[in-house]
This record gives sequence, structure tokens and C-alpha cells, in this order.
Amino acid sequence: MKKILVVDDSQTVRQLVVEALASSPVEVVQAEDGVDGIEKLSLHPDVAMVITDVNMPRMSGIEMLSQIKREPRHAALPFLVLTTESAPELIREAKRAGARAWLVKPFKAQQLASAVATLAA
Amino acid sequence: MAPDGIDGRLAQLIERYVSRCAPELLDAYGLTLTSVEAHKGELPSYSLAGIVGFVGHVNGTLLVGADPPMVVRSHPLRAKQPEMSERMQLDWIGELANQLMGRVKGRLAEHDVDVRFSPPISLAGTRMRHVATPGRTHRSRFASPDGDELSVWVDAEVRSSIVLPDRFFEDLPEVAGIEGELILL
Repeated sequence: MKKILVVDDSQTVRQLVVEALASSPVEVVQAEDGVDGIEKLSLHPDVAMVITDVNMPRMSGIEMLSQIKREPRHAALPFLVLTTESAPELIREAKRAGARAWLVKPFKAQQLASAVATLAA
Repeated sequence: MAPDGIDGRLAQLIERYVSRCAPELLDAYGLTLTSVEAHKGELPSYSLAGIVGFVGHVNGTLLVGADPPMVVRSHPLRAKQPEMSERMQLDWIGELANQLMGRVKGRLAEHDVDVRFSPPISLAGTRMRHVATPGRTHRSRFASPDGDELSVWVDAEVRSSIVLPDRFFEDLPEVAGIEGELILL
């Protein structure tokens, strides 16, 4: 079963992601900010995909993405950014850092499950 | 429409985008909101608040205030967790403030107005009230069909040193946001 790391400072959003992926053959690991996301990834190096918010305490999702992508073993790890932000320059910044998809909240469960099935394949 | 100075124009934009974005956001979570006239001078109380600060061309704070019934009715996990803890209610009103700020930021970006905002904080209390600063505080008030209310206060200012983009003053056609849209990069 593939592991998906979900990083968001909102417990509600993390639970919504868990619910959305309940029918998918995945195990969800949760982290509440970018620092916690890096720590959880070190504990679960077999994570197959990361879903991350942008605007979080301690470390933003894009900063976390950049740090993780610097490690060669995670260079190909797919990232989906799930956020309230829609600014084109932020989307470009995430793309440059290596993100594969961007989804602005609120999201539909089926849409997220399909994106995970595609990106974590 | 001719702008009534920078402060007047800022008030126009905030009123326009909060009055559109708050009902759109709550509608996405299954709750219909209608605008209710916010009477000058009244100080309605609330017991839960989500607060986001923002800086950029415009500096300020956005506060969403409501009582627990409104927060629980709009919570996307309400069907699975009918007995919702105060912690989850606080988490949700913070996330509502965060998502509303994201929408308003996106609409202001159409005017080339750039702001960055903080992660939300949430507060619980008894009969909390927001004291408005004249000329700086803009309040929008909404009601659900059950009569529960949600208020949004935006305290905002443009510092005198800021040069605003020309599009700040332009009335633009309404543009749909990209909320819910998956963008493959």
C-alpha cells in the first residue's frame, strides 16, 4: 500500500484528505507544517507522494518542497499543492521547485483521489 | 465609478469582494448565506473567531466571527462528527478565514494588488466584540436560513509610501476564481 504524506496546519483539511482517499489503496501520514512534514518524511522515506498546503506556521509548503527536492533520493517525489492561494507567481514558483499539480481549496474528493492515483502511480 | 480617494476605493473593493466571496465559500460547504445590512455603530458579539493578517500593497487584518451553530453547520465533516469538539470548531473557523482571505486575495490580484497573508489563528471566548476604527474597518454581515450569523471584519489601510497600480482604480468584469480547479504543472 502506497503512503501519501499530507501536510496542512488545519486538522479539518487533513481529515478531509483522509476521507477523500478512504477508497484508494493508500495509507495517509499526516504532518501539521513544513518542519513536521520533513520530519515525517524522514520517518517514512517510502512515501510515494506529498500533498501540501502553502501557508503554514514555521515553514511554508513551498519551502518544504524545495528542501525535500534537494535530496537526490526525493528528487522524483511527486508533490500536489493544495492551498487557498491562486497567485500565478506562486504557482510558477512551486513548478520551478518541482511541484506536479496545484489545487485551490475547496476540493472535490473524487478529484483529489484521481490526482493521487495519477501522480502516485 | 470614480474612486473617492484611495481609502474610499479600498472600502469599495473590500465590500465588493467580501460580499461575493464569503457566500461563495460557504456555499461550497453546503450553507447558503445572504447579505444582511450591517448597521453602523452596532457591536455584535460572537464566540469563535478566525483571524488572518496581510501585508503588501494593502496592510491589515481579516476576522471571521460566528457562534458555534454556524461553524458546525458549515463544517465539511459535520455529518460524520455531529458532536464536534471546540478544537475542531476553532480549527474550522480559522480555515474559513484562511480560505476567504485566499479568495479575496485572488480577486484583488486582478487589480494588480499584491498581498501576502499569515496562517490563521483562532479564538474562542464569550461575547467577543470587534471595535471598529473609523475609516479603516469594513464589516460585512451574513445570515443563514436558520438565522445564524457570520460577520467579516476587514481592517485595512494603504500606507502613504505605497504606490498603487493603476488597475486598483479600474472596475473590472467579474472573473471566476480557480477554486476547485486542478492545474497540472
